[in-house]
Amino acid sequence: MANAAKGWRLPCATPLHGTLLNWEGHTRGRTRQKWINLRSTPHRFDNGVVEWRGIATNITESKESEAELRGSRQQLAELSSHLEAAKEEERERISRDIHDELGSILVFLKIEAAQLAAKLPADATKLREKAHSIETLLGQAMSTASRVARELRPGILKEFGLPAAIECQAEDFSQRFGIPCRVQCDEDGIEPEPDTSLALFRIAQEALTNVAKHAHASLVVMRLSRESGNILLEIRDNGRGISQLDMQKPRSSDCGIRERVSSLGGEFAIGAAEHGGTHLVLRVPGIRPTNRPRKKKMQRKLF
Amino acid sequence: MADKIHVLIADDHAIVRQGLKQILSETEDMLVTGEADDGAEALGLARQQPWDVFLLDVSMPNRNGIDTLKQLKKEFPRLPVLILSMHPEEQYAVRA
Repeated sequence: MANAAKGWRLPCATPLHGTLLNWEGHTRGRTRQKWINLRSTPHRFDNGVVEWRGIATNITESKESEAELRGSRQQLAELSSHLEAAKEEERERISRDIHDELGSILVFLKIEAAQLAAKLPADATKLREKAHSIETLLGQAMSTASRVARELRPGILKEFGLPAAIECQAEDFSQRFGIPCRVQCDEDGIEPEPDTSLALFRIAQEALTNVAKHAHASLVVMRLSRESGNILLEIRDNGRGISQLDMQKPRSSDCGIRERVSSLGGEFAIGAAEHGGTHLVLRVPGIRPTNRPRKKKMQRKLF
Repeated sequence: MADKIHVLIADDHAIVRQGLKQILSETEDMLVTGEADDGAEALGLARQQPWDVFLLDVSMPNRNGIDTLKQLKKEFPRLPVLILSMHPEEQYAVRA
């Protein structure tokens, strides 16, 4: 249907002269639903009659495209969330295999090596040195296996919760990159739902990786707090900061953080810190919003 | 036998229990007389007979080491417990 210019003469005294009416609505036909956009302006005559002049446009196609786009975005978000869940499952499996299989064999080997070293004659200096070197290497292999398993899926998150896991992550970061990382937790009892905890932990991990890669910082401060029902995570560094160009072309890791925060129904902002460096702040609901009715509520309605 | 220190090892990895038993077997006055796969089994064994020392892994299925330790300290406050961990994190130690 082509756009059509139309005029209406309405004996109406209420509309203000010249105020634009912008209305969208749909008609219910027997076949395809039609969407109309009506833009119209009232003109009052001296005799009190109001004439509406405007344009009615058929916006069915753009509305349908909009709905398709929304649906496709929703599908993408669902797919992304499904992929994330699959990735986490795989990480957990690999982490368990490293910890349970590889880790325990390494522990046993270290015990064997220590016992072997202890049984060597005192004058077998070269052999003792070799045995000690094997012990040291096994110790390093154990630390690496443990760190990799922890990064893949931190057991501490499941056993002691988010604040402990973030503190542990900060310790790992400081040791690995030589950059001190302080953690401030306002309350010890910050315990979001498992999915939210894991997402916040992954965000903290991602943010610290970014600091190590790009920030040239000598200090990082992480803060976990509660603010009117929301959980607030702030990561601040004293590095070279983030330029306007960086802000316009966000890194893929920033997009990843944004996507995680958005899937939790939260907000995310990154910018320059007060005294130089970068300040990342995100706020997510303490209780994750859900569109699906809870089972208990449904049952109450049924019976 | 009666004078020896009776040790119970609780760890879900058989190979780690084997290694620890091997170390302890070289100590004359210590005897590993009990093994448990998880925290719940360790607690059950603690209630069955008196023990001199418990070696407890932090990460175990069916009740982790820290929870088991809390319960053991409640029921057997004088029982010495050594916590074992493959995790270097201070956070585990702080909570233990």
